[in-house]
Amino acid sequence: MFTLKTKSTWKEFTKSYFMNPKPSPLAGEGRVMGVEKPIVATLPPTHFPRGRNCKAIKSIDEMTFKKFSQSLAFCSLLLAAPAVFAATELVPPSAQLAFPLENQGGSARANAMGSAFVAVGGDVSALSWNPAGLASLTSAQLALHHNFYLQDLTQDTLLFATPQGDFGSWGLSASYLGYGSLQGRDSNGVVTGSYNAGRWGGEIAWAHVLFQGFAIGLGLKGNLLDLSGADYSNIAGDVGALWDVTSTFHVGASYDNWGTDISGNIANSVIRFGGAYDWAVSFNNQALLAGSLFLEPFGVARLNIGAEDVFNSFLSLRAGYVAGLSSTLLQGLTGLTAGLGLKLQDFNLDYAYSPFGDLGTSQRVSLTYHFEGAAPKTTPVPGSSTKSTQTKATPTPAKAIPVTVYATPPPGPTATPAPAEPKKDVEKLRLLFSLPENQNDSAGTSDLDWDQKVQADKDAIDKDAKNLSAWYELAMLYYQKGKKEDAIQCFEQTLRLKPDNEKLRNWLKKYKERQQ
Amino acid sequence: MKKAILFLYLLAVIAPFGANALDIPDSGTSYSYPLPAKAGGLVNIVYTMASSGTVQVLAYNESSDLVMNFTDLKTAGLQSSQVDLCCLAPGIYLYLVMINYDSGSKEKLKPAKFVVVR
Repeated sequence: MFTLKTKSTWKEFTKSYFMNPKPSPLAGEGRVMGVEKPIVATLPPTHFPRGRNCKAIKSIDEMTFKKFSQSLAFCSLLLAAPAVFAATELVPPSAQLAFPLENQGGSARANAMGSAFVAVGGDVSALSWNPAGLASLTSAQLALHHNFYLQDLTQDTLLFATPQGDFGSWGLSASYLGYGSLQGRDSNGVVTGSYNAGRWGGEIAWAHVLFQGFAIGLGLKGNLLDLSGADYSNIAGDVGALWDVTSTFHVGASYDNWGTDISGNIANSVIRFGGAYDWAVSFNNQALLAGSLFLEPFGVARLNIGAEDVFNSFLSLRAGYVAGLSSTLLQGLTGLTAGLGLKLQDFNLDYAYSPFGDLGTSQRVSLTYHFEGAAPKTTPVPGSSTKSTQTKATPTPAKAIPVTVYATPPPGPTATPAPAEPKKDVEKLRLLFSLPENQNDSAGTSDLDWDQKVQADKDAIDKDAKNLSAWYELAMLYYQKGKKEDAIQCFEQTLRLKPDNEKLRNWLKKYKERQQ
Repeated sequence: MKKAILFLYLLAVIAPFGANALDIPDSGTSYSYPLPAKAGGLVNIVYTMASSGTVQVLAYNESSDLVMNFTDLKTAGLQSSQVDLCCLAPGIYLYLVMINYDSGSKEKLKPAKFVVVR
């Protein structure tokens, strides 16, 4: 992978030709004598011990013309190719790739999870990892990401995405990568003043559900790099796909930053593919595991893994690891990522920390606003139910119970009991909503008959009108018995108690549409 | 004839180096010039050595991928390593200077950055 340009033979070379190389008269002044700036030193010719050159000049009168000619030829050789004798330089092919940071999205949530985000949808930041993930959005989102990056670099990204029903989901982003203030120096090393440099970027993306559980996404982006007055630009595209293998397991793939050359250099594109698995650990604990492979054509390869645990629909803890499959020679902590998120009303506040060894650290902060209201989808988005709940930065905490809360459950059996639904449908619903089975007051009623179970749940609700699992279990019981209206009322109450359950919200919406 | 050759020699060998007036970098730091540097050209990394040893310059792109690994042997004092930028893409690069002294001690200089233009 590396190209060997020169070989290091300088040490042997100097030993054999210059028995007593004299150090520079200024050698070590700055350090040994403790003299600090603004001392100006005369630097010996690069790679040439100063003493050797001086010796050659002083002795010229004593040399024969032949010897001098040999010396001249020898010095010319050294002048022409000093690097040949001086150093070893290894240059990997990735050195030629331009705009590499385009492959590192700005989302704190994604970065805290080790950037293993290609199979995670329903989050506006999917625009940076896999545009197909936008298809799972259930409401519009606006996000601002800020990255305190290595060596005073800063990265800011503003994103907006909205689902538009049959027209798919649309996303927009604008970004700025600031290189900070840089000190200019001329070819003699003299300070010429400072200058600023940075890169602007913008993207528009579209995602659509092609068929049940399968979505695609496309993105078109432009970049403009300004380096001290020299401008470089390119146009690039993103393409991605997301497939819900099951309601809890998703796989995704994308090819990002496939674009035009930048002043003769190839844009640093990347191929990603991976999976994500989400599940309800317990009543108030949802988890997500994700992994992906990151392959840059002509560049590096990485393995990304990440995890997220959401507690009580309020606090999210995240961790990840980025295993570089190409050596970076960095010392210190590298690869590990960590972060947390808070859900505050309709806002998500996320933080991520990523160390890069000797180079420094990256600290990202994201603020995401979730607009109220479900998407006006008329085309069912299969699998989005699971994903949409899981992929919100942090699920919404249970809001204050609105005045429409039922003090008691709906009345008992309706006049004409409908035939019982097949049990597998109920189980499907239970899986779909990712709500655990009743775990409190009405738990342990599996051996009771239906009426007793209903009564147990009603008793639990009488004791605590906010008993979410009792409402949910009661809804399931009614649904199982074919008492759809009662079941819907209970499901609606469940949704009021747990408004972040987008799966349930979508199912209810579609159910009502079908009834109309 | 000899004088002519001597003149040519001085012109060829001495003049190009001239008397470069370089700042001595602060302790534990380095700097580079020219800034911005031209792709295909050279960038000089300037640092000070407490004694003789091996210098390793590692350059990284924006996303911390290694793009250059350069080693050099230097004596004590103010020193400079020329790094061939060859085919680097326009952009910003971060670099680390690590010194392994012949005495066995090691020193890491504070990371810095250089800019490459075309």
